[in-house]
Amino acid sequence: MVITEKGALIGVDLGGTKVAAGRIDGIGLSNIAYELIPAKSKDPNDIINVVIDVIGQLFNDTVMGIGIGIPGLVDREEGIINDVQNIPSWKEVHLKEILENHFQVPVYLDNDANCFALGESRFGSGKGVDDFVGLTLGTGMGGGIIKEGFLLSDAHCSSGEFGNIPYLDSIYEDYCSGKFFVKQYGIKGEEMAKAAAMGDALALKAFNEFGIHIANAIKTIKLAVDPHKVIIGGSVAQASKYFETSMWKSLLDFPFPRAMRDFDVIFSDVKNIAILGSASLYLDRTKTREMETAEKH
Amino acid sequence: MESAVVGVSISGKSIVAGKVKNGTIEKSITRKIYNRGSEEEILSEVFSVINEVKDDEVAGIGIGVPSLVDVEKGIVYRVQNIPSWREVHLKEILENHFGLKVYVNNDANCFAIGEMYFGKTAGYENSVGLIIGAGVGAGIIFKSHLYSGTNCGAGEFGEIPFRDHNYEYYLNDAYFEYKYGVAANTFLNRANKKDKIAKAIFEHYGTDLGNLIKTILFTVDPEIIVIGGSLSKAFPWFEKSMWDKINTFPYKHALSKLKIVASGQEEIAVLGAAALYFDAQNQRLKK
Repeated sequence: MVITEKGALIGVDLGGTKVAAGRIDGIGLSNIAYELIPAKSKDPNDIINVVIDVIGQLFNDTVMGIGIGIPGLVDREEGIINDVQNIPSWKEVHLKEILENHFQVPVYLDNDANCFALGESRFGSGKGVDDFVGLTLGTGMGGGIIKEGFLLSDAHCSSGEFGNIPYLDSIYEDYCSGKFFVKQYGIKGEEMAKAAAMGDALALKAFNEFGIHIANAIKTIKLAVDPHKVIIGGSVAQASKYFETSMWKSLLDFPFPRAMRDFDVIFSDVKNIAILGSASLYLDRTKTREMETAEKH
Repeated sequence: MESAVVGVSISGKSIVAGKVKNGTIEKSITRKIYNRGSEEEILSEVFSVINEVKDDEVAGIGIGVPSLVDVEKGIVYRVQNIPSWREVHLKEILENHFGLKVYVNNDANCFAIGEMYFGKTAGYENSVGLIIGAGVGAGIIFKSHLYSGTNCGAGEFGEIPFRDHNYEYYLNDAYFEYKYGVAANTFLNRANKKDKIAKAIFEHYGTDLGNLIKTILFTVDPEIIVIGGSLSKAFPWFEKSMWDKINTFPYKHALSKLKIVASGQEEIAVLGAAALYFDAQNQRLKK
């Protein structure tokens, strides 16, 4: 499929504080727009109107479809948002129907971490990889599973939510995202990375420990779904040089060494991956594996 | 008319073979084995049980083995409780011997596919078959077919780190003996007689199992989970505490649709092994 000036896509990243969207057309990601979400809003329509407004800034008659990444679980077929974190006013929002009526093009919803994995599959380090797991490590931890080049069509949209898996005294997210540094050391991950860059011994030790927890998460993922690669994005991936040694060392004792032979962990940093991933929902649902923009020709 | 298939289930204790036709086992045999026997000795037992149930109607053979399996080549590696079976090219050996199509898979995968064809998960597209017994393992069904992962390593939930060890350590039947000095089966009999201690122990077991099930929900997210293996008989005794733990899952709407059931079918291992053949036929039809 060739996305040309005649066929653009819009991807929307619905965050806890803002709605960001971009349009992909012949020249790649051509336009980006965003708006803040009204704080403490009780009316679900407030945020819906922000979404419509942001899309409206990018929408033109070349747009073939819209994809939206949601920080929660959605009913994909019906396009209903049921379990969403950080937006308390949203209970059973029929977002697909509302937006399709408004814009008259197909609208697809999915979990934001699933969109990340899909974005890596179409625009990032996952291009051409059949089976992999995309992991976002930032202020939280999420993931998505790509099976034979497409998002795993699970029952309730909760596959790949590795951050919520029970681990030690709580869950993986508390040990594998920025929360680790806040909870265990009382400082933010960015601060810790700065200290590590200066050679601070405590910071290096903290990242060393962090790498072991990341390795345990990867082992769990490997044991559960056995992917070919794990692709890690998010702000934490930027500090990979401080923890990848201890991570790889810790991966050596995986109980099935054969399964590790051609396994790889890749740290990825694709700009605007959340928007690109959301837009990729259109490609996923229309069973389009390859995607080209005119840029490449 | 549906083909007849021989299903074979191999463990460290015995080999069970059955001729399966139209979803029922027409003929079956259980052979106790000496698990320290050589690779050839155990293979000859496999030949022998298959010969006893096989007849001219049989179109293929399916085999379930507790090990890592290269499904395409039909090679089993480091088989649990059969030390001499470190790398056996089972598919090749049996196809040459019998001249029939042979399919080999991990026992947990056979359980999951058996439940889909002949048991509790019939009619569901996405399911997980979880075995709790001598080991802890699972088979994953996606879109009505086995999901094996890149090395057939998917569904190895038992190996996932939990507390000081892994889930298998706390959830396999030997743990009862190790921790309390009493066999799991004895506790089961006592619980069935409403013994308070036995009931409390299974309640604790349910909490740990609930953590494993949450892990399954956050990784592969099935519509239904069917639990098999020797400890699934204690289902009534751990069901409540298991659900109490699962109910701490943060996505309530998703949880409201999840089903968890106990298998309750003794012959499912043989049926599941036979189902490997049917699954392979159906996969081919789809392509």
